[in-house]
Amino acid sequence: MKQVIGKVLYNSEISQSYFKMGIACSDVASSILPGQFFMLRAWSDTEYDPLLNRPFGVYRVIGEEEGVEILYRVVGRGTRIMSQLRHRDFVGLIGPLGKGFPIYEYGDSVAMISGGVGIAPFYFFTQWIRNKKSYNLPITLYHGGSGMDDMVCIEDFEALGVEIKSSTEDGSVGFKGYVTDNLRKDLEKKNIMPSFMLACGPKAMLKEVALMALKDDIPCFVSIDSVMGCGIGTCLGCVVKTRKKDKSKADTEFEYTRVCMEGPVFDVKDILWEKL
Amino acid sequence: MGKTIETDVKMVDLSTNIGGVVIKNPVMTASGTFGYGEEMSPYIDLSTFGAIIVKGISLKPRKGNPAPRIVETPSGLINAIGLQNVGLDAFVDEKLPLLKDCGSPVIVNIFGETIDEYCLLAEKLGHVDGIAGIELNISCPNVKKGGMEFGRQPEDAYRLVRAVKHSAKLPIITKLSPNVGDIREMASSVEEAGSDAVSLINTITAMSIDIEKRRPRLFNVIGGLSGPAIRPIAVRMVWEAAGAVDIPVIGIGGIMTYEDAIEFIIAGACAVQIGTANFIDPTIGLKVLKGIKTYLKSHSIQRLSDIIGCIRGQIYTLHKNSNL
Repeated sequence: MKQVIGKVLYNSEISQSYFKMGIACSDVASSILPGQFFMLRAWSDTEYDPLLNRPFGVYRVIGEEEGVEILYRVVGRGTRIMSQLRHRDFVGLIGPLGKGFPIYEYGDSVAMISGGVGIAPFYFFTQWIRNKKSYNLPITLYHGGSGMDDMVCIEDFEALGVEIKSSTEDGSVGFKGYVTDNLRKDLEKKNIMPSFMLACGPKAMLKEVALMALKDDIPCFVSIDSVMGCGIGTCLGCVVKTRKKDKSKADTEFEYTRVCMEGPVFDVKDILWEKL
Repeated sequence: MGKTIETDVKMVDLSTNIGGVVIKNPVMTASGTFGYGEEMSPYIDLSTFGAIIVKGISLKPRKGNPAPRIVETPSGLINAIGLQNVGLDAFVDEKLPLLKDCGSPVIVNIFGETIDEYCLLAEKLGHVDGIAGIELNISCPNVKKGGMEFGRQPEDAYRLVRAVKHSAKLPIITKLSPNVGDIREMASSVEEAGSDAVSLINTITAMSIDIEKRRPRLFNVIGGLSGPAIRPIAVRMVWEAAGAVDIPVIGIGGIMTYEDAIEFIIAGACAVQIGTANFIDPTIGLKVLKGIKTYLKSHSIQRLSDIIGCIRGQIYTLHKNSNL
């Protein structure tokens, strides 16, 4: 991980409140693993309101490893400031940070489950799988949101041969209901039985996915979004409740584990879902 | 040209003595914002600092508070981490080896729930190699006083510091809470109890509410505010404390730049601790240090000690000569 200055290449609204920002940062672009993130500062380091840097996953590496593309949604002051940046503006970056998706064989098929902007880390993951592992591995993306505006980047995934299962709460696109209901329906009907499941989205969604995975004994990894103070392991602000590593105490005792260092990707077996 | 400036800058004397700990420069890290050093070592040379003050240690490991633990507020950060730490034994066995050879003196911040716990920690640390001093966090709830913090009343702080001083071979810095009636009384009472230095301020108790959910933003409801939002309060308290005691005062509170550090030094601080700024820029310590050197050089000041508390006499003269 390094601390660098990146130059904004583009910053465009691709759907209502969703943006894609391209950032030139060749010093760090070549070392990113799928699921890792950056701390980003979209304002000067002498401006203190907002005070803290913000964590963002990497949507993809661009060019010949010359930069990164970030998919983000405007939800607060930080992202609003970010959305106003233009070509040639500068951003501060620290990264790549954290532990991403596990790098090993993904068996016969993978199901990725995403809610809203939680789709962001899966494009880079899919690219990586296609390039490094198996070009033909069947991958299904269950993507959910409240309405049509949340159905972003679908065509990018289709171009990589990913099967798309969309769902919207208002029924405007695909299955009407939550993404987890769409997944449950398929798992119950045995329409799919993925060797692996990966999920990224709101905590309630992750919990539902985790409980399904644990019930059906499907290996599952989730990328947890947490408010972060530093992103580099010092503030202890971003913790989640995990089982103790000491297996003899794992059922009775828990510990707080940093999302920024030990995560953001966790094995669902390690998280205490009932406490989340 | 650049080389000449560098050579000249090196001639400025930045060293100071904090209650028996000789430090090569006045820039320290604030407890809880620099981990145990290992987290920051990818970004900054750990030998940069006058001293490294590590995350607060208790006798036994502590889990800390449930999340949410932090919330951002205007130019500030409220935290209620709950003193999560690995405990004394794991600190000494697993964390200290990297730190003790890092090139900066290591000061261990400690806390307990009883006076005996503080004393035992101080005594045990006295037998460990590679520790230059102890910083006492007296903002911890006193179990015997129904959870009232040791650092709220001068007499409680006095008793605690007196007892720890008796048990410890190492120099003691007492970290003062700003959540008190009169900071001068607190500083005086810990000086009288034998503290070798004081550091201030710890965080200011604060709260933030999510009006949409109508819920506190922190699980713990109340937390401690840090960051540039608290700096003017910290400068005032350092000024008051430095006027009340003869032991060294270390300034803490929202330092983001070398200018902020110089402000604390002029107010009476011999050294400063950088806290929240480490979260934003892990190299901030080096930037502040370089800035201090350049400031002294450009103002033709030979020694840092020449400007520590330098406005005190001036203000006296100014007020005496005014007709008000």
